[in-house]
Amino acid sequence: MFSSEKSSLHLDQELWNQFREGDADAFSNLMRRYARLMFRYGSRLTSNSDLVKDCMQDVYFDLWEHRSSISQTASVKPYLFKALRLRIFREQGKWSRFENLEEEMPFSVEFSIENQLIDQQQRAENKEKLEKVLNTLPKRQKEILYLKFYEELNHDDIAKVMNMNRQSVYNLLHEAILRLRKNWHTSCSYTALLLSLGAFIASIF
Amino acid sequence: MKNYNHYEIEDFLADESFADWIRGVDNESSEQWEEWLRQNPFKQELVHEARLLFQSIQIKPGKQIKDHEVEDLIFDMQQRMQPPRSVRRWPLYRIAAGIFLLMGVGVVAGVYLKKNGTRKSAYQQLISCSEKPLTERKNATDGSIFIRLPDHSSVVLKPGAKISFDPRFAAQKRVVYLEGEAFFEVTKNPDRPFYVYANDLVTKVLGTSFVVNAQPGGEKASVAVMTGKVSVFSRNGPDTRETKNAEQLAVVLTPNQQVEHRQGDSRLLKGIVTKPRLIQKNAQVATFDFSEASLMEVFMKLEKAYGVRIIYDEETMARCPLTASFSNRPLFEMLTIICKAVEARYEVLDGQIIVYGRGC
Repeated sequence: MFSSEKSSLHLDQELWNQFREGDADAFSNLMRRYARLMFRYGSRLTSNSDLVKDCMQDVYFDLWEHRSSISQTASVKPYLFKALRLRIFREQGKWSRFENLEEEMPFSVEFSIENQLIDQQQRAENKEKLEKVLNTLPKRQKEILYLKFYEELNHDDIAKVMNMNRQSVYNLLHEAILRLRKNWHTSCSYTALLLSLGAFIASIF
Repeated sequence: MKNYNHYEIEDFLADESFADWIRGVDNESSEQWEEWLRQNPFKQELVHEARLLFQSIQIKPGKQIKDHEVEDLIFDMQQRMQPPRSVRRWPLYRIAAGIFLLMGVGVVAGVYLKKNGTRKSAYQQLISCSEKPLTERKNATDGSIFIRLPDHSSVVLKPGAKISFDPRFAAQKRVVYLEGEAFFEVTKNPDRPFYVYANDLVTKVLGTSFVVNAQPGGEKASVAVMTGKVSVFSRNGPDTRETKNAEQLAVVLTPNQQVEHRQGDSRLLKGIVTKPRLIQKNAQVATFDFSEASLMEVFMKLEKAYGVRIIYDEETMARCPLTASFSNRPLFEMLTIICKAVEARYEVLDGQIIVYGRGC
């Protein structure tokens, strides 16, 4: 691991332990460190920003109230994400008529394909296709991709946040990427296509 | 290392150690992957494609929370975390947003002189790093002087103190540099936090009043809060733009707490002030109507509203009559007017207001 990441994890641990001992300043610093990330993630689960902020406060408040019984944690981020996710689902559920809440809950994310290496001309067409594949994925697959590629969580942490087992995370991820791969053409395959097309045209004349 | 020989692009992308390698976060997995590629050169192209696809997947940024919203949220939480105050304080804070908050905060940064003729003072270093031309105000008199800042905040400068600020206060944050002692009353504006740089300490407020005292050229500083709430952190260098990281380590001071700081030490040691005080809670609107009121009554009302102590000779001054009407005036403006009316003068000492007069 890079040292910056290591020291940031180390600081998390330190703040977390101080917070568990009742240090309000350490807790404020934890909130400050994670408020942006939590809001960013929470806003994907509901479009209501005030709800996200209220839920964040509820999560913080619960943590503070139960600080003495909270265990040590290897990483703070998935812990907070999971708590926020649950809280938002629960709050949304109060007004929801849906039976299977989790399946109905949105996950609003817009994927884009940015590849400087794909040929300019072909890029637009291919890009559109790939983006369509990504953006029409089932919600929970989008969420897994978001947590993996944007929030850079590992599979264990994604499983923890989304309350799934690790294997299901892997399977859903694999399925999503397989769909993507089938529509994937890079400059290499495009060049190959051009070459064969060139050969074909040459053979005509 | 697993057997990757039958891996397709999707298998690589769904693999955790592959992700670590691409992101360069894990040296061990990098070595393993590079070794594997050396042994399986025919997989180079496939891995290259998998890498391209991995790096191509982008997510458009969504909603962001603003800095002041984070601070408000934390402030709210801090209120809720103190059980006896939580019930009343929290909703009140929300209602009060945008209104000029009358909250007395006293901060005293006592600094021990360090004799060093060649070195620039902290204050001079700070102002020389500013990108914009600054206006400087100096109190060369032997009484306190009253200064109004461009954002209608007020400052009372003690003798010998000086202050610098951007005359337009145009940036997103309001920054003043101080040497000496001053009392601030800051207009509330959550979008533009107010910073006071005094020696190595930075005091940040969103809108309140407080006293800062930083003697020239010091190596030790302390901040003590009498009433209200501020956050204090030490700055890393003279560049005021680089406060983000330092701010994460801010100490939030509540009444009767103090923080000590030594030059060159990044730690802020929190303690309790030597003379803790009671804080009077008062949520009234800052309108004061005095009609033939006694000075004692007037000072009591001000003390209660601002949570600051006003010390005067009760024997000679308590019964002085006063008629005045103030609406949303900063405390020091009111005090100046009151003192003029009863032929007295006042000074701020150690977070307290001391009124000197011969009586009537």
